[in-house]
Amino acid sequence: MAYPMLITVSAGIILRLWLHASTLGEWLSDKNEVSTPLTSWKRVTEGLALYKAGVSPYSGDIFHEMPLMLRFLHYINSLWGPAIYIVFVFTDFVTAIVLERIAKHCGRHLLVEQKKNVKTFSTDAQKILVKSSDLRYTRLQVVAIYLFNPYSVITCLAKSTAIFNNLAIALTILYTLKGKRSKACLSLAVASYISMYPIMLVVPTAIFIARQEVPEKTWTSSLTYGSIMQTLLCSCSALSFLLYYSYCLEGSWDFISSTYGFILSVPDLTPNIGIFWYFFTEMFEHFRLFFLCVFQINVFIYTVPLSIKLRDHPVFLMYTLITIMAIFKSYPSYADASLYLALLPLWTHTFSHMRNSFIVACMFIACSVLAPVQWYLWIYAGSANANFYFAITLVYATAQILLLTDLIFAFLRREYDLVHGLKPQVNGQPAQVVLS
Amino acid sequence: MSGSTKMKLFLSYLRFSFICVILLNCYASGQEMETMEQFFKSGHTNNWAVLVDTSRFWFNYRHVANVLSIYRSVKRLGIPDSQIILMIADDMACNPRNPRPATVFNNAHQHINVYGDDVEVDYRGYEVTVENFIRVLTGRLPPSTPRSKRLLTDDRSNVLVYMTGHGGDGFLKFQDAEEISNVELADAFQQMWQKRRYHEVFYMIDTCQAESMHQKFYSPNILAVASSRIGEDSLSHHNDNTLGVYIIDRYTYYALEFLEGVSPDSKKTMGQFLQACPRRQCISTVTVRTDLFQRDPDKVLITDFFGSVRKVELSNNYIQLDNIPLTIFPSQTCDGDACEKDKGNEKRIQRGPRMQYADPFPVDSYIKGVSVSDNSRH
Amino acid sequence: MGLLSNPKTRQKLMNVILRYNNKLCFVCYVVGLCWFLALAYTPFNAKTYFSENALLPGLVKSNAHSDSGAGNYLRNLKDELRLSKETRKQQSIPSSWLEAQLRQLGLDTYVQNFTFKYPVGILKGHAYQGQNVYGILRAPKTASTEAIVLTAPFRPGGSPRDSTSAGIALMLHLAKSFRRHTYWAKDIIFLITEHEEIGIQAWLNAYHHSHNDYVLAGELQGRSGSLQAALCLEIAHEEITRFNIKLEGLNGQLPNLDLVNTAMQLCRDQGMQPTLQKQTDYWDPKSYEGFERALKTMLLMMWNMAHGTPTGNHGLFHQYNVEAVTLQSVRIKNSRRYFSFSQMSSVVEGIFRSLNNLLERFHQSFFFYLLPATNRYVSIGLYMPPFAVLALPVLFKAVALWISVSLDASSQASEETETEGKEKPSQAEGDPTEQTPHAEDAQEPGVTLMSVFPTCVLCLGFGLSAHQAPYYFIEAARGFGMTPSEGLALGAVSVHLVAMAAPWLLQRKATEEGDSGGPNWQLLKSVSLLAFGIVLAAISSLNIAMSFFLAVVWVPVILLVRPTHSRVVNLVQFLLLLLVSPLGLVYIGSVVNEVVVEKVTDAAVLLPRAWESTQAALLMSLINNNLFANWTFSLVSLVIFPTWLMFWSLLWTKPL
Repeated sequence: MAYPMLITVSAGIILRLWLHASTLGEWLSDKNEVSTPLTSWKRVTEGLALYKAGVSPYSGDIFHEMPLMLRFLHYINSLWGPAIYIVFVFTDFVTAIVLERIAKHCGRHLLVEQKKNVKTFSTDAQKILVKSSDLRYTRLQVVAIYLFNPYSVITCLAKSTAIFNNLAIALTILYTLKGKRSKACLSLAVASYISMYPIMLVVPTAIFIARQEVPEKTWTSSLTYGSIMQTLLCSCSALSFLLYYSYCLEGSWDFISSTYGFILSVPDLTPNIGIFWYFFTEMFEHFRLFFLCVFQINVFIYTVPLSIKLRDHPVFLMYTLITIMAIFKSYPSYADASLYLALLPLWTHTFSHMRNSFIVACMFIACSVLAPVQWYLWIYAGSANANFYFAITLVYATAQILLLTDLIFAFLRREYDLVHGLKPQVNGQPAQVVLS
Repeated sequence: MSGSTKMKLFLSYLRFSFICVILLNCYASGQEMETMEQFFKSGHTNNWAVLVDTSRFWFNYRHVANVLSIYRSVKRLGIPDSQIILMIADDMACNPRNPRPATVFNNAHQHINVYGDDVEVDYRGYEVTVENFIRVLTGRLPPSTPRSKRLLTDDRSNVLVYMTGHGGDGFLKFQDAEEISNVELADAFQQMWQKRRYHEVFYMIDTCQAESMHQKFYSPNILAVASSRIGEDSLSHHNDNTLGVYIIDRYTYYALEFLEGVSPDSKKTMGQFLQACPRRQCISTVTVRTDLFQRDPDKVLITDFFGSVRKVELSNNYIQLDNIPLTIFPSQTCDGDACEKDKGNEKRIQRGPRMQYADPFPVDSYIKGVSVSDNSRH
Repeated sequence: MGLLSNPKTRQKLMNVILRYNNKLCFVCYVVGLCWFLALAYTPFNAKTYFSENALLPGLVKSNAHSDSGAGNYLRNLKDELRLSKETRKQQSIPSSWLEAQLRQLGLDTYVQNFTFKYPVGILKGHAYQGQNVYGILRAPKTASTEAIVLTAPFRPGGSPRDSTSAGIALMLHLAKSFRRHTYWAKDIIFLITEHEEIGIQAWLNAYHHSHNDYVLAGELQGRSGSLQAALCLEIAHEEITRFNIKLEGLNGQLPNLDLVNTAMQLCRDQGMQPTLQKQTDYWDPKSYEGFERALKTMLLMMWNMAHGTPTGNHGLFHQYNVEAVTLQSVRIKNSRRYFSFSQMSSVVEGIFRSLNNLLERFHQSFFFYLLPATNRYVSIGLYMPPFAVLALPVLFKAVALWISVSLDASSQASEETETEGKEKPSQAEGDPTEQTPHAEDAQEPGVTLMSVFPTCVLCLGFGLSAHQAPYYFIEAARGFGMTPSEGLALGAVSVHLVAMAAPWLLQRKATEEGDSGGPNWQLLKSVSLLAFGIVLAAISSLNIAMSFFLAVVWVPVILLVRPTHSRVVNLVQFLLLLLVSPLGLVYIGSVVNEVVVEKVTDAAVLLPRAWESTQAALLMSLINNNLFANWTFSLVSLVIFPTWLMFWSLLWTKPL
C-alpha cells in the first residue's frame, strides 16, 4: 500500500517540477480557463509590486486577493523569489496528502455509518454493501487523480492561487471528518476568507459535528441546536477575526469592495469557463443588478434543499456543495473542478447506479480539447466569435451538472435500494424505479 | 421669448410703418372668396422644419445628401435657418474619403454643392440620438439649450418633419446604435399636439419600409408620406463614380426635382407633390396617409409646408388709421380740416395724415397671384 | 434529459444502437460523403453576396488606368536587373533601386534586413540574408491608425516560379497614381519582399514585434497603424488573360469572403473572368459537367487547405488577423482577349478604393467556407451537417462498443451471482428490457478501463518521440552522408516501424508470461474511436478540409479493424491500416499530386517520384513548422499518429 502511494506522490511532484522547467507554465498562466482575475499570478505580481511600492493594491482594478493572502504571498515571494513554483508544487503535495487522509477517514466513516444502519437494510441489499476491501484503492485513486489530473497539473503550472483555496477546503473536509470543531471552523473560515463561497460549507460541517457529538436518540433535542450554533458561531467569529485583522492591517475596509465586491458584482467579464461572462456581456445594463442577484443566489440556494434531503449524509452534502460552487461561482476555473474530481472516488460504491458517466466523461474531454481551439479561432484568428467559445463553456457546465445530478441520483438510488432491496416489487411483480 | 410674442411685435412694427398687413381674419368679397379659399384655410402663421439624417458612415453619403438637399429647398422657399432644426449624424464633407473635400453633392457631375456656405447644422454627429430628436419635437430640452437648437413652435405653426436613414418594419435606426420605433414617434407627435406645438405637420420619410413609420400616428392634422411600403426597400438613385458613393435616394431625388419647380408664390399643391415619384421612377411604392389631415391635400399649397410665405400685401394706397396721436408726429403738416380741429382741442386724438410711400421696388411683379386688394383697417 | 433519465427509452436507444450500428454506420458514411460532395452542385450552395455595406465595390472611376506608367517601370526594372546580373552572381532584390523609386514618389521608404536559417541540421545552420523594401503612403487627411498593404514578392531570374517583375512594376505605377489623390483614409504600405514567404514572415514579425527563432527580422524603421487587409500581386506578364485568385492561408485559414468577393467583382467589372484554382467556371453550372467542374474546384481548394501550407504570400497575413488574397496572373496562348496594365491597375485600384471605404475590419461575411465556383460558396452551416453525418459512425460505433462491453461486464457479474444460486434465472429472462439485474443502470467497465490506459500512454509517448525525433534523424543522417530529406524520410519510416512493433512485442511478452489479460479490444476500440472523434471535431473547426479528408480515409478502415484469428483478414487489415498511416497518407498524397498536377502516368516513374516528393513534403512540413508555425507536422505527429497507433495496437489484442 505504501509503495504505490509513495511512487504516485513522487511521480506527481516530479511531473510538476519537470513541467515547471519548461515554458508551459508561462503560456498556461495566460489561459483564461486556468487563471481567473481572482487567481491569476500575473495580477498577484502586480499587486505585490504595488504593495512593495507602498501603494494600496486595492486602489486599482487589478488585484483581488485578500490582505492576508497578499502578505502571505509577499512573504513567500520574497523568500523564494523565482523559485516560488516550489511553493506551489509543495502546496499541491500537501493537498494530495490531505486528500489521502480524507479518503481514509471518509471510508472509515462510511463503514461506521453502514454498521449503524445495517438493521434497517433489506436482506438482499447484501451485494451493494460497502466492504472494507472495496475501499482498498480509494486512497490511491484520490491521490492519483489529484496529482495526475491535467486540470490540477495545469493549475499548479499556471501558479494559480486557487490551489491555496483548494487546500483550505480540503482541510475543512478533513477536520470535519475528524470531528474537530475548532480546526474545521478555522479552515472553513480561511477558505471562505479567500474565496467567499465556501461559507456555505458551514452547514454540512455543523450537521456532521452535531451528529458526532449528540447521541442518536436525542437528535431533535436542544443539544443538537446547541452544537450547530456552536459551529456556526465558531466559524463566523473566526471569519470575522480574519476580516477584522485584515482591516487592522490595511487600515480601511477598501479591500472588501475589490475582493468580495469583485466576486459578487462580477465587473470583469473576461471570458472564462463559467456562465457569468457571456450572460452579463449580453445583458442590458438596467437588468444587470437583478440578474446578478439571481445568479449569486443561485449558487447558494441549493444549500437549503440539499441540506434537508441529505441531512443524514453530511459528507456527501459537503461534496455536493463543493461541486455546485465549482459550477456556479462567478469566476470558476479548472482548479475548482480538479478538487471535486479528485474526491469522486469516495463514492465508488454508488457508481454502479450512475448512468451518464460515459456521456459526462466524453463531454469533459471534448470541452477540454475544444475550448482552446475555439478560443484561438475567436481571439487570435478572428474567424470565429464569442458564441463558439460560449457553446463550449455551456457544454462544460452541462457536463458538470450532469455529473452532479447523476451522482446525487446514484447516491439516493443506492440508499433506496439498501432499504427496499435490489428487486423492488409492486404487487408481487418486478418493478422498475423511475426517477421522474 | 415665445414664437407668438415675437410675431406680435412683428405685427405692431408693421402697423406703425403704415403698411397694411392682412392676415388670417381678412374679409374679402364674393368672387375673390373662391380663389382665396386655400389661402385662408391654411390657418398657420409660421413654418418650421425638422430635417433629420439618422445614419453615419461614408457609405451613407446619400442620406446626408438627401437631407441637405431638402434643407436647401426649404431655405430657398423662405424658411429661415432659425426655424430649421437640421440634424446630421455624420460629417461627409470632411470625411477623409471625400475626393472633393468640404462639399456634398446631390447629383452626378457635381452640379450643386448642397453643403454651401451657409449651412447651419443644429445637431451633428453623436448628438443625433433618438432622445434628442424626441426632446426637440416635444420641447423638453434642458434650459441651457440655445434657441437655435429648439423647435419654438406654437399652435399656429406648420411643421415639416423629414427623416432619412436605414429603417425596418416599425423602426428607424439612429447611428447603428439605437432606433426609434413608430409608436414612439406617434406618441411624440401626440405630445406635440397636446402641448399645442403645431398646427399641421407634414411628415416625410425616405427609408426602407418607410410606410411602417407613419402607420401608428393618431394625432390630428398630420399629413404623412413615405418612400416605400412595408416589405419594400427604398433604393438609391445613382452613384457618382468620382466620389465612389451613391449620391441620393430615389424618392428624395424626385421630390427635389418637383421642389425645384416651386417658387414662393407657386400655386402647386401638396396633392401634386405627393404624386411626385410614381412607382416606375421610385421602384418603391410611395405611400401617403391623409386620414388625419383635415384639408384636402389637393387644395393645400406646397408652400404651406415647404415655404414660409407670409400672406403679405403691399399697397400704395392711403390708409386711414384711427387712434394714433398726432403728437408722435410733431413735424407733420396738416391740411385744413384737420388743422382746425387740432386748434380746437390739441389733446384730441386725430386721424392720421395722408401719406404715401414711394414704391421701393416693383413688388407687384413678384407677387402676382396673391392679390388681396383690400384696405381693411386695424 | 428525459431521454437520458428514463430507463425505458434509454434501453430502447441502446438496443437500436446495438442492433443496427453497423448498418447505421455504413448509411451515415455513404450519405455524409455524397452529401458533402453534392454541396459543390449549384442548387445545393448559395450565391456569393456582399455582406459589408461599406465596401461599395466598383463604384469609382479608375484614376490609374495607363499602360505606359507601369510599362516604363517594368522596362527600368528589367534594365536594373540586367545590370545587377552583370555585376553580381547571386541575384538579390534591387533594394536601392526600389527604395529610390518609392522615395522619389514621396513615400516614407525603408529597407528591412533579415536573416534566416533552417531548423536544426538542415543546411548546417547556415544563415541567409534578405531584404524587404517598403514605402508608406500616409493618409493625407487622417492619422496613421490603419493601413492596407499592397505587396509583391521579388523573384530572381533563376527562380522556378513565375517572375513577378510585372507585378512590382504595376505596384510602383499604382504608388505613383495613389500618391496624387487625397481620398485615402488609411495608410497604404507598398511592400516588396524577398525569399517568398520568409520575407513576408520577417516583415510581419517585425511589424507585430513577434519573435521567431529561425527568421531573425531586423527592426522596422517606420511603421503605420494596424493592418486591415492586404493584397498580394504575382503578375508575370504585361498582358494577361485573367487573374487567378489564391486565398488558402496558413493552417487552412481563409480570408473573409467579402474580400474574395471584392476581388472577384472588380475583375469582372473589367471584363475579366477571374478563376479559382485556375479553374474557370463552367458556362452551365447546372449540367453534369458543371457539377464536375465545381467539384474539382472545391476539392482542389480543400486540398490546398488540407496540408496547411499557404498558397502564396497572402497566407501569412491571416495569422495576424489581416485578411489577404493573392492576384496571380494567368496568361494563355492564343487567348481571345488580353488585359493590359491599364485594366490590371483598374482592378487593383478598385480593390483599394473599396478597402479604403472600410470602417472596421472585415467581420461581416464568412470566414469558414468552401468555394466551388467564383460566384458560389458553401458556408460552414452548409458543410458542417454532412461532415457531422460523415463522422457520426465513429461515435455510433464507440457507443455501441461501450454498451456491449458494459453489458458483457454486467452479464458476467450476473452469471457469477446466478451460479451462487441467489438469483432465479427465470426472473432475469422474464423482462426483456431487463436482461440483467442492472441493465437500466449499465454498469461501468471501470476496472477494465485501466487496462486500456497503458496502451494510450504508450501511443502518446510514441507520438511525442515522433515529434522530437526528426532533429536527431537529420543529425544522424548527416553522419552517414545522407541529405536531410532522406534522413527525415528514413527516420519517419523507422519511427513507424518501431511504434508498430511495440504492441506486437508487448503482446508476445504478455503471452509468454501467460497473462491472458491485456486490454479488452472492444474497450480499446471504443476509446480509440472516441479519441479520434474528438480529434476530428477539433480539427474540423480549424481546418475543415483536413478533417474531411482524414474522415473520408480513416472512418471505413477504423470501423472495420478488429482482432481476428483469420490470417487473411488480418493481413488485409494490416495493409489497410498501413495505407492510412500518416506516412502512407503522405505517400498517397504525393502519388495523387503527381498524377493530378504533374500528369505522370507511368507507374515506374510515378512511384519513385512520389517517394521523392514524399521526402520533400516531410522536410517542408518540418521547415514550415519551425519557420511559419504551420501546425501540420505537430498535428500529425502529436495527435494523428498516436491515434493511428491505438488502432494498430488493436490488431494485437486478444480476439473474443
